[in-house]
Amino acid sequence: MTDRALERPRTRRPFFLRRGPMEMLAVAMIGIGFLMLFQPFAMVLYTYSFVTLLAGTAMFTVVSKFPE
Amino acid sequence: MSSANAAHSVVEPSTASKRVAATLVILYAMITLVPLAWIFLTSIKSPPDSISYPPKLVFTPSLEGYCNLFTTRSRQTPEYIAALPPAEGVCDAVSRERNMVIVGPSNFLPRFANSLIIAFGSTFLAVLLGTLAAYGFSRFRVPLADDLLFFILSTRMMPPIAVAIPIYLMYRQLGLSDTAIGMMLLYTAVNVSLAVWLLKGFIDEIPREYEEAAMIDGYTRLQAFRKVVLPQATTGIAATAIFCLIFAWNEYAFAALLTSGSAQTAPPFIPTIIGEGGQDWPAVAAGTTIFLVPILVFTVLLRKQLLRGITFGAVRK
Amino acid sequence: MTTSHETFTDKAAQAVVRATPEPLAARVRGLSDRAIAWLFIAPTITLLLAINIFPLFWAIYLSFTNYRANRPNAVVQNVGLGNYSRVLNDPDIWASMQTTAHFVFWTIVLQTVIGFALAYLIDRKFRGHAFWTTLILIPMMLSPAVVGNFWRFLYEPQIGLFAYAVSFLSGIPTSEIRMLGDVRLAPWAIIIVDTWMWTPYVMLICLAGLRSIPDYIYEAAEVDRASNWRQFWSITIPMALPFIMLAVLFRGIENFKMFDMVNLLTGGGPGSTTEVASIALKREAFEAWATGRSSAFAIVLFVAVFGLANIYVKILNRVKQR
Repeated sequence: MTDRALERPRTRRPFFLRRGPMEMLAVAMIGIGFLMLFQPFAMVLYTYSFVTLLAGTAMFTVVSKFPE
Repeated sequence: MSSANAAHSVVEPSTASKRVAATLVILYAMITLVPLAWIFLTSIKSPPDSISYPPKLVFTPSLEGYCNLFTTRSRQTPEYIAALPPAEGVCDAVSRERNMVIVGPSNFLPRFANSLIIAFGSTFLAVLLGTLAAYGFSRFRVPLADDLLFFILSTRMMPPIAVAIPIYLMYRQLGLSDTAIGMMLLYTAVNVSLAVWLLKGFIDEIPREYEEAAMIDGYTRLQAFRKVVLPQATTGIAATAIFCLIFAWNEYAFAALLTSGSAQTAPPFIPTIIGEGGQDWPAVAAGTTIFLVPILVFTVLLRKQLLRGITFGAVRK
Repeated sequence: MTTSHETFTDKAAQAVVRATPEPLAARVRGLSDRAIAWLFIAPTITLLLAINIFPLFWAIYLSFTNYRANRPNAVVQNVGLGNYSRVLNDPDIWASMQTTAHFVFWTIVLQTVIGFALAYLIDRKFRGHAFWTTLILIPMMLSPAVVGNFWRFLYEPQIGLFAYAVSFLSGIPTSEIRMLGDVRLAPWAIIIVDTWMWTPYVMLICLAGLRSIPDYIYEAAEVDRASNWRQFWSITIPMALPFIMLAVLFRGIENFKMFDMVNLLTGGGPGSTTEVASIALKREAFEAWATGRSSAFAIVLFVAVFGLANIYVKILNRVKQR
C-alpha cells in the first residue's frame, strides 16, 4: 500500500483531493458523530448523530483511495 | 531482546526500581487471580459452605458441586432412601445425605460435547479457508487486495446482536436454527477474518525464494504450497488455530440467541444450572472450572504469540 | 529461525545452479497463478458473503419495513425511513446510548491507566517478569459470559467475596454493598468486571509499544541530561502512543457492542440502569420482536462500529510499519 503510494509522482493537489487532510476530516466527523450519539443534553443532536457517522464513514472509505 | 538491553547499562533500570516494580506487579497478579481461585474453591465446597457468611476459606472439600453438575436429582422422603440398596459411588452417597436420589444425567455433558464439536469444527474450517486465502493475498497480486482485507476484518467487528437478527431469519428459512452445522458456519465466518489476517503475516515472513527454488526444481505452484510453505507455516497455523478455538469456545451472544436445545453450547448453559431455591453455585463453579481449564492450558501454550493474535498480526514481537 | 533461513537460501542457490532449463510446458503445468489466487481466496469470500454480507443487506432491507419475525405471514409494508426516525427519536434508546457511553468511557480510562502502569512496571524487567505477565494475562482469555456469570456470586451482598472484601477494607456493612441491586452501583459493577478482564489486553499492547522504543533514544536523552520525568513525557508517551491508541480503539469497539458479560451479570437491570446498546437491541429484536425497527437500530450500531473499525485499521497499518 505504502510502496505504491511512494511510487506515485508527487503532484500538487488541492487539499480536498489529498488523502492525509481529508482522512483527518473524516476521522473528526466520526468522532463528532460519537459525541453526538453519546451526549445526554439534546435529543436533536442524538437524532442527527447517525447521519454524521454515516457521512464520516462514507467519506473515510472514499478518501482513503486518494493519493497522499 | 533482554540480552541486547543488558549491554546498555545507561537505560538499565536500577535495582530499587526493579524491586518496587516487581512488588506492585505481583500484588496486581495476586488480586486479579482471586476471582479465579474463588471459582475453583467454590466448586469443591458443599452448598451450605458456599453460601456461608463470612465467606469460608477453610472448609471440608466436597465433590457435591461436580456431582450436581453431572446429574439430575429428585427429593425423596428419608424412609424411601433408607429402604434403598447401599449407595453406589460417591455422588450417590452425597446426594442421599441431602435426601435426594439421582434420577439421571444432567444436560451438561451434551452441552459440553456441543461446545467441543462446534469449536473444533469451526476452527478447522476457519484455518483451512484462512490458510488458502492468506497464501493468495500474500503471494499474488490480488486486485483491490487492501479493500478485500479490510472487508474481511470488518466482518469481525460487526456487533453480534446486529448480525444475529438476519442470521436468525436466514437460519429459520434454511432449517439451520439450533443445529451444530449452523453454529459451525457462523463461527467459521467470524473466525476466518482473524485467520486470514494472522496467517497472512506468518506467510509473509516465509521468503518467496523457498517456493521459487522448489518451482525451479519442477514443483508446480500447488506442490510448492503444500510441500514448502505449509511445513514452514506450521507454528503460525497452530497459533491461529488456538486463537480461533478460544473464540469459538468462549462465544456467548450467538449461542444464546440462536440455539436453545440440541445445539446449545456450554456458555449459555452454565448460567442456567439451578438447584433448589436458586442458583446452585458449587455446581456452576464446577461447570465453570471444567470449562476454563482448557483455556488456561492454551494461554500458557500461546503466551509467545498472544500479542500477535490480539493485534491481528500487526505487532509481531 | 535464522539458521533455517540460511540453509534454505543455500539450497535455493544450489537449486538455481542445478536447474536445467526444463521444457516450458513442464513449468506452467498445473494451474496458472491467477487461477490459484482466485481459487484460494474465493471460498473465504463466498463464506463471508453468505454469512455476513447477505444478512447485512437483508437487515438493511428489513430496516425499511414493518416486518415482525414472530408473524412471518403478515403483510410486509415498506415504511421508508420511519424505523430510523423512531429509533433516532426514542428516548429509551438514547438513554441506552448514554449508558453505553458511561461504560465505554470509564472502562477505557481505567484500563488504559492501569494497563499502561502495569506495562511500564513490567518493562523494568525484574526477575520473573515473564511468569507474572503470563499470570496477569489469564483473565482476558476466559469467556466473558461464563466468568461474568460467576461474578454475580462474587457480588452477592451477604455471601459474596467482593462485598465482604470491600466491607472488610472500608467498614461499610455488607448489606449496603449491593453491587447488582443498587441503581448507583450497578453501572460500576459491570465496569469493574470489564476492567478486571481486559486490563491485561491494554497492558500487553502497551508493553509492545514500550519495547518498540529503541534504546539509543533514551541514551541520547541521558547524554542531554534530560530528567526521567522529561524522558517519560517527551519520549515514552509519544513513542508508545500509536500502540495505546490501538488498544483504546479496540476496547472502544468491543465495549460499544458489549453484550455477553453485561447480559449475564445484570441483564440490563436494575430497571434499565445497565441497559447498554446491545441489550436494548436484544430486547427490541428478540423480546419485542419489532424486527424492522430493531434492524434499523442494528444498522445505526453497525455504522458506528464500522467508522471506528476504519480508524482502527488505519492505526493498525501505522503500527505495522514500525
